[in-house]
Amino acid sequence: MSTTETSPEENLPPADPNAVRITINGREVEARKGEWIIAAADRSGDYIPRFCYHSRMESVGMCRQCLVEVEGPRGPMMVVSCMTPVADGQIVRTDTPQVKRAHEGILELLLANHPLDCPVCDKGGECPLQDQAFSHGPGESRFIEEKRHYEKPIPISDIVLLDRERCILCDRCTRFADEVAGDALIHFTSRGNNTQVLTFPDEPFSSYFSGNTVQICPVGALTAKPYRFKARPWDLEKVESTCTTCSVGCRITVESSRDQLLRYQGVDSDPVNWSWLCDKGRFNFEAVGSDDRLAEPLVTSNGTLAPASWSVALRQAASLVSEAVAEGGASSVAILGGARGTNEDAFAWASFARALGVTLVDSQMGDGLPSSVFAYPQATIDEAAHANTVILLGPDLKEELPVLHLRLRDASEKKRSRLVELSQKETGLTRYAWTSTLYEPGLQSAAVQSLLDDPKVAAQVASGSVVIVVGRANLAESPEFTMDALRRLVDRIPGAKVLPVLRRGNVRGAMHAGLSTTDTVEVLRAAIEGRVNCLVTVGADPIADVPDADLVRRAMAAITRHISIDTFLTASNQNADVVLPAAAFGEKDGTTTNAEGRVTQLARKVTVHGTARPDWMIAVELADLLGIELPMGSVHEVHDAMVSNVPEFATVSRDALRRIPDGILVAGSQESRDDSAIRTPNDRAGFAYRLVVSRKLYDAGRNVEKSPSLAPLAPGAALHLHPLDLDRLGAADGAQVKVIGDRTSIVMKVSSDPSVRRGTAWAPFNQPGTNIGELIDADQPVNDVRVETL
Amino acid sequence: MLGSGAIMVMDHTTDIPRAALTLTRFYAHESCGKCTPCREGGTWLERILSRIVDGKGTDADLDQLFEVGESICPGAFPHASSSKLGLAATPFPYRMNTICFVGPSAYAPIHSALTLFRDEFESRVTKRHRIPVTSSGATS
Repeated sequence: MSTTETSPEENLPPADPNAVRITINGREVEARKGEWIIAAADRSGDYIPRFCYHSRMESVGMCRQCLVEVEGPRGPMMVVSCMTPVADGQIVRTDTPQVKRAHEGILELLLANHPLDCPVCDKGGECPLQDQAFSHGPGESRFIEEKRHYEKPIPISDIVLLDRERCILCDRCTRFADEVAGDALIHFTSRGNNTQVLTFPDEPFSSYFSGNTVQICPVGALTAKPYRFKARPWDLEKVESTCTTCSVGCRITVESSRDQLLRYQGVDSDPVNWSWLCDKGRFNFEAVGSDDRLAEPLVTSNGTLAPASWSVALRQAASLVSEAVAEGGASSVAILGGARGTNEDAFAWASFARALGVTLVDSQMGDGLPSSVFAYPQATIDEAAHANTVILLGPDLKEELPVLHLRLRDASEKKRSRLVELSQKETGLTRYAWTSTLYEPGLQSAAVQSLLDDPKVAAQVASGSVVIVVGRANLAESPEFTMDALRRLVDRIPGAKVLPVLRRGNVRGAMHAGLSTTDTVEVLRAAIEGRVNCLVTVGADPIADVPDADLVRRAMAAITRHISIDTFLTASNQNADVVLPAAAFGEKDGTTTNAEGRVTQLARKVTVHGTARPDWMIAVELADLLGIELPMGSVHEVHDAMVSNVPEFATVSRDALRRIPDGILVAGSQESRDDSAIRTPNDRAGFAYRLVVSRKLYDAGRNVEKSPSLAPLAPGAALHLHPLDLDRLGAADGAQVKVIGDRTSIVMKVSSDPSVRRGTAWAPFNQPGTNIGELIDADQPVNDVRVETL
Repeated sequence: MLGSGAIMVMDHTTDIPRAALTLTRFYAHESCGKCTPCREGGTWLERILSRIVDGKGTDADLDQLFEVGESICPGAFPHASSSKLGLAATPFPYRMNTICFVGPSAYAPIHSALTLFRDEFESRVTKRHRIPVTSSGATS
């Protein structure tokens, strides 16, 4: 085609080749090829009632509620709009008497066996069945037979209860379990009129994602223990916020009634969580309302912590800091933590540290990766979930960043991406991986080398975009090996991008804000050497979080002045000199930064517990008492100061964040690559196992432990060995064994686990019971243990 | 037309409502339970019809059968002609709200029997207009 230079068409955007035009109720609507009629109608504002249809799952056309008329060669045809694709020139009617009769008929049938116990049902008031019975139903039922009866409610997992009488068999929960979560533990049983949703015998629906089924249930059939009978929907007030349980940063609504947090619901954020949440994130609001929360400041007097006023406690804290500075200078003050709060909290504490001259600052607890990981080209979650190849070089995402696990699982299941996994133990994604290599701790680089030398893998990697998901796979191993492997991968794969998956909610924000000038292990070593006169922990519990138990114990014993800002009393701060109660999630405004660097807004929903204050305010007040003026009088001022002082946050003005609820990616990082050499791990002795320690979703952390619904789900401490290794050892599954490390030995349960690599021993970290950290020496590149039967 | 299209020959001694019930019960039982009209409608039809056959139905139940059927198969439903009733045949195909033909097949015998042999149903119906009581001995 020839076009002149002045052709007006030239300035028009190119016509979308996927666009088709259909007519809905007489109005022309633009739709995309392959899209269902119901999705096009949603955009055009013609609401079609539906129960089984969910935009994030495959259509099944089971409830038949979304019937519409489509003009066909033999006149109008009744079709389900959730399974009929749009076509150019299609004429759809949703408002004819025939369609209305069909909608009323189906609703009458759905209600025939529904108990209509709306007045006592948790869903009443926000129930799609109730709402659509009013908007599209016949108004009354002519069903006079006796309704179906089932025993109810029955627990299908530790958290979720099922009422089979209310169930309308829409297949949403069962589809979610199978299609989205990959835990097909609930299914239809029986047939015909007796069809019901059930678990398999003796196999509960113990999925990390079970709470989503409660959210998507279009009736009150599925209810979750933490919210059951707590409120009526019309009493709930809600604000949109971002979950900070892990660093995925799922968008949620925070819902409360009578100033008490009662529920989080997933919000469909296209770049992040697609409306899904994990159960830990969804239900740990219980911890915010826990009676064990610190309500007032505590100050040590006569060896015990006693309540004190804020002015007394802050003055005491200020004098501890100034004594320490007088004794050993600002370099003898250390600040640990800050990765659990907001960007503003982190920036205020970083400003405090800078103003005072404090250099011993770290927001990770010796269980992450160095900040040089941000020096590589960064990928977003969406880029990872659309990359041709995703190289997994990190922890089990199902345990640490569960919703990222869902996104990558979806990428693999929908054949968009091939997952190339390098891990030390089989993970939740292993069965979806294209290739999966189990390597011995410390040998990441060799594994990378042989992987890329495989012509099949090399061809796959060269075939398109590559994203490397990198994190700390093993807490009993120095992070240098992972960083070295990452370096090699990036150097050998041109154009590869990196998605760092450090787990704490706002660890990336804290690091960008300036809370990582050193490494926690260095701080603890300095403490043991007597070089730390005052430790400030900001929402950090080093005793629970630092892998090396011995190191942290000796360091905490050597520290003479400890100021803790926390929401609970913990192992670390029960001997602190001053404990200041902090505002928890849901009690403060601010912003957070997720793993991919997406900054989103947090919202305050309830008043703080007791007299707790947000972390940033404590930093500003403490600075004030020390004669340092931080010009931050409100959370907005902290944010504005952060935007003008931190280059990464330059683009995230409050205005911009308000406009874009999905969040804004931080600007390029200022970090530089670290190309230092790595150590070579020793050869493993014949009867030793190389230790792999990583986290499970549910552990002994405060968020879980103080949530009554989640606490019982922690699996407990155990040493997991491959069944053949266990046979060789001659120990029975579940027996107590002696586990011997270089420094000490502990007695713990041993468990047979085929997902563990032979020659390695895996243990979950920070579990109730024996502390595996006793066997981790942070000075060693890798740690070995021997196991003896008792 | 009784059933899904097979030809069944019955003489004048056949109890038409009971024959329809047998067929409807079969298809209601055969329902896989996936789609709503068949799962709920098939069983509802069967329960109304079995009440009628037991002599515990009402006039309203006869109309209700067509109403439930309308939710399974909207619009005109095929049936044979009847010179006795002066009815012309309604041809195939029917329209349906279900995924497959099991649901419509539960309705087909009822529709056909009730259209062509309504008097047999009416003779079974209790001429009262109240909700039937299901306990024994309440009706005659």
